Amino acid sequence: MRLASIARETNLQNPSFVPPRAFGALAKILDEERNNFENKYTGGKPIATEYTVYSGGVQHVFLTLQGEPTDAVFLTYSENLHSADLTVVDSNGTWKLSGAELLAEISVNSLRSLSANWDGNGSPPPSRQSLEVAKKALYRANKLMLCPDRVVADSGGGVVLYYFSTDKMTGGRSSKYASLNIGSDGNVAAAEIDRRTKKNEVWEVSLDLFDETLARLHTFVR
Amino acid sequence: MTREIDNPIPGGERLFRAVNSGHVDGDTILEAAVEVPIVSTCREKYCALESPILKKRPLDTGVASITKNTLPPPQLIGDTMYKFDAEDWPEEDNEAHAHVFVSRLVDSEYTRCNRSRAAQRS
Repeated sequence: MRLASIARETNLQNPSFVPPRAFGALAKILDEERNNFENKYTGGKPIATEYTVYSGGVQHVFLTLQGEPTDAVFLTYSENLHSADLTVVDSNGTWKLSGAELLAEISVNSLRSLSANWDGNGSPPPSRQSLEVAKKALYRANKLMLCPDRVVADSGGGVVLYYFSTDKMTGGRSSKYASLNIGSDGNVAAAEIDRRTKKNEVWEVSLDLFDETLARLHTFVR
Repeated sequence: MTREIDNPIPGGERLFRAVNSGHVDGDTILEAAVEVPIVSTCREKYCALESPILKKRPLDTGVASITKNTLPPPQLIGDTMYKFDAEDWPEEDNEAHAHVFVSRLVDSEYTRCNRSRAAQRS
């Protein structure tokens, strides 16, 4: 069970903030997980009981399975607060994790699976240090609702988070973009590129300034 | 056996490089796709899209091209002038290999920039 295995790798207890777009991805995963439960127990017939409780402005959605009280997925979220907390319970135990952490884990897992020559140029896969720092940055980004538009490996064994403007130039390229560049040694630099004015800025970022930097990059392209 | 070095590379000859789909932004590629100051490419004259680099590329990549004529112009960064250039660099397992590289102006002469130690280690 994919979601449960992701949950098992993490060990988080606190709910946190997730942007609406990211929440869509989370909801999709939950839908898949729900279908897995249904397929497992009824051959595809919907047996999940779903009920919603509103409490203190927060909507709680519980999905449970008849006759299998220990198998359940609980999703608690608030559309207004953009918060999400996910609990997965199955016969192997219970795991809790926040939506922000779940999404960071999913993004980093896809980069972790890259092998050498992933780009056709003999480039190394992202280093362990760069993945750890990327996971922290993505967690902060998700928590602050500053989800990057793209998360990619770079050709030097690092990871880059990109924000793109919706304003496009001839050829479809973005008129502005910003990036958080995490080197293979875990060092971080940020960049703001304005292709119209040709004014660019690059600076080093310390790990305790992720929140301010992510907010600046996000604002720059908007 | 490696072929003879064939410089200069003509300004209009295309230099190819495999590019991951995640590094494409419209009609251009992002910095993450290349490792400045030295970028490996394949010369059109010797590879005709059949070099080892291009043949063995993963499925989620495409091929981008640039010519010496379309390299970025020299740029003043701080007090130092930098310029891009291309140079034939045949290798035993890829005779089409060429470098696009950055050099900086030192004492009236351009000196090729080398990869950082960290990049060399990785």
